[in-house]
Amino acid sequence: MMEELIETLKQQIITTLKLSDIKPADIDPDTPLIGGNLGIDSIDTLELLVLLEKEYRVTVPDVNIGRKAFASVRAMAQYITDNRRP
Amino acid sequence: MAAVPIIGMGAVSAAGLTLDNAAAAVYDGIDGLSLFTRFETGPKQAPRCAVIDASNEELAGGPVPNRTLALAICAVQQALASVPQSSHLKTGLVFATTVAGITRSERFYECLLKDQTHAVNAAAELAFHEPAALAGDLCRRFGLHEFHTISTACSTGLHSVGMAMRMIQRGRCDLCVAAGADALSLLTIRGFAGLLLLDPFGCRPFAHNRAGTSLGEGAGAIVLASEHAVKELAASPIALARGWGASADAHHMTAPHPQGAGAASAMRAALRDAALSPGSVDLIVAHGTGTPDNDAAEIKALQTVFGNPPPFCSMKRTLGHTLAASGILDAVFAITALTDGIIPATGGCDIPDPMLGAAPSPRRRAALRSVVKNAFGFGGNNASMVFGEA
Amino acid sequence: MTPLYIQAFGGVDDRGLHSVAGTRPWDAGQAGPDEVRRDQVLDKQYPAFGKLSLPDRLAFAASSIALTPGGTAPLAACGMCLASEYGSFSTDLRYQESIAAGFPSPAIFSSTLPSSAISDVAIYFGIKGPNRVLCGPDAIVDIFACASRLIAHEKCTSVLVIALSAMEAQDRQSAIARRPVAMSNSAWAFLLSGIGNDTLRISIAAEPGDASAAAKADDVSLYSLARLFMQGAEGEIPLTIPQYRGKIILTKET
Repeated sequence: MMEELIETLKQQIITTLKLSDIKPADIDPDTPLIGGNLGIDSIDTLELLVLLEKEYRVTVPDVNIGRKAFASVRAMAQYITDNRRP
Repeated sequence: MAAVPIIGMGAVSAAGLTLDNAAAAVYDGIDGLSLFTRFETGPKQAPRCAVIDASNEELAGGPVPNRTLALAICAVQQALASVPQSSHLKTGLVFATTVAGITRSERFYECLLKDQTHAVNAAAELAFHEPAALAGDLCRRFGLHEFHTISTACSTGLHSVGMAMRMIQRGRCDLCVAAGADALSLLTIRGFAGLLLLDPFGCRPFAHNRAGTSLGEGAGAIVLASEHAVKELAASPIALARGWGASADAHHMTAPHPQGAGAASAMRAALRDAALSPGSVDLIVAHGTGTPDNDAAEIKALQTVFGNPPPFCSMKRTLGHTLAASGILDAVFAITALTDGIIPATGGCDIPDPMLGAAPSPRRRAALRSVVKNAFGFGGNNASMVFGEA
Repeated sequence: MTPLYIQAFGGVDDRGLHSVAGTRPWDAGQAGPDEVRRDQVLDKQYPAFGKLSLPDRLAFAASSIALTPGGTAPLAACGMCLASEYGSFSTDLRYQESIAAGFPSPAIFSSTLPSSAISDVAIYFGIKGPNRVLCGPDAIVDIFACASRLIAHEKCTSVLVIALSAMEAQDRQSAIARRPVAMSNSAWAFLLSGIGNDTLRISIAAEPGDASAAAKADDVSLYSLARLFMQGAEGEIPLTIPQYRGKIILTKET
């Protein structure tokens, strides 16, 4: 379940952030998302926040929680799993 | 290059509809913010903004297509009121805005998205969407000879003064009006909120618990003149524009360079342009938006340039962050503070942040020879200017 | 005007990608500058290229063509002057659509500024000098004049001058456009310096015309300038923009 969600998230990250030259296989689920080789910055994090609200109906109440939630793709998947509203 | 005399100024802001009415509130750091209720701003609680309680018609003295233009007309009218008319002096305009006519175009576009039949009105409704359209209107309305439109986010108002200064120094025109205006719009309110840059309690520049900025609407205008024009008009200069500096952070689209490197570079360039040493600056009117990042970076920049910074303040709690207008609106009050010999208080800074290593000055009287004004825009566009006594 | 020498240039318009090496037409199936790809302007991977808004991407593409060949002066001391014909017209509307859809986009918002077109270039290439952003159809004259002054006053040693005319097709083709607009977008970037090395000196002889003249859709001036430069030829190009009468002059320095 988690692995499936991670794979879906990788594609959604690429699509949402319009990342050029990146395929899902290029994204390591455990590497830091921000500041890594994907060129993701703090504005992208806020886009991912919108993605979580839109696709998973999960909210991130503040920046500090956001930092942990977007630490990696796996962290995102975990946050979604823990906070998803039924 | 030689300093350029300033012979007229105008300001319209939450602190007052005219410069004179507003100055006292600015010096006292009065809270100019209130809960924004002019239109719906989204699912979260409405932000606290600096709002001007006057209609477009009241501001402009007649009907106008949008609020930003109304604000600009109000400020320019005030600035030119004290400048005698002269048909043979060439007068230019440098106009700064970010939202331009968006207050009208966003309302129209919202209707268009729901119902495409509105498209027939598109030409008229969007005629003033772009910055250059407003500048062209101001140029024609005030009988000016040429206009230039600039737009570099929150630094652009201050750049308009610098650019006007250069136009005089180069002999391009005899008089030059620098003006900046921005209205409050759904685009900017939602945009800043989406970037988590608004403080729900109102901005608290340099304070220990600051959490963001507060937007405002407003306009400022400054008339600069050549020495020749000053003599022709028998004008009394209010102050001098002495130096202008600019730089780019090359760092991030919305966050400043954390060490304030670009900001320091701009301030140094302004001081070099003015041929002044840091020691001759008596007051700094900071950009001081109240975001954790800006204020921290700006203090670091002040420390880099000045060592122990001279007295500094932020006017954002009183005037709001008026985006493109802020650089010139704050500059107008920086100049009145210079001439009145008052270091303004910083509204909203109840407990300064001890981590910053410097705190804004309380309100007090002082002999002021030179004041520095900073303005920093998204994308790391930095402006700094030095104003001196006439 | 203090002499300005063209060191390099880059351009994208419906004719293709323009550089000092010549013009490369668009690939079959590529509709034009709106569909420029990262690999056509940058050798290295750059994941953030795809998220640039249309105006920012075109300005970035032209700048990359001009700057990538290398061998240019250190860019930290370089300034930038941008002439943005339409400002953030299209990105403003896209942002509003995202609000109407219930999910305002932070990334689109950060591009709803005419100056975002140079921010990306500055960040990627490390350009830290002073910059100017002028809006409107007449701004291309002003940016060359600004560049000249920046160099004359030793604010920087070189200036990247960018002329951008970018509006999304959906906005151009709908009734939203309320003045004649060019049918395709373009971006030109000229790297200029105050020192000439066997190269071409650019100057602009322009007088203010009628400030109320209606705007015209025209990018002939800069394409012609680029072509003359590619040919290494001297020449004069008439300016066809409102608020000014005059010409751009290219002179060979020997």
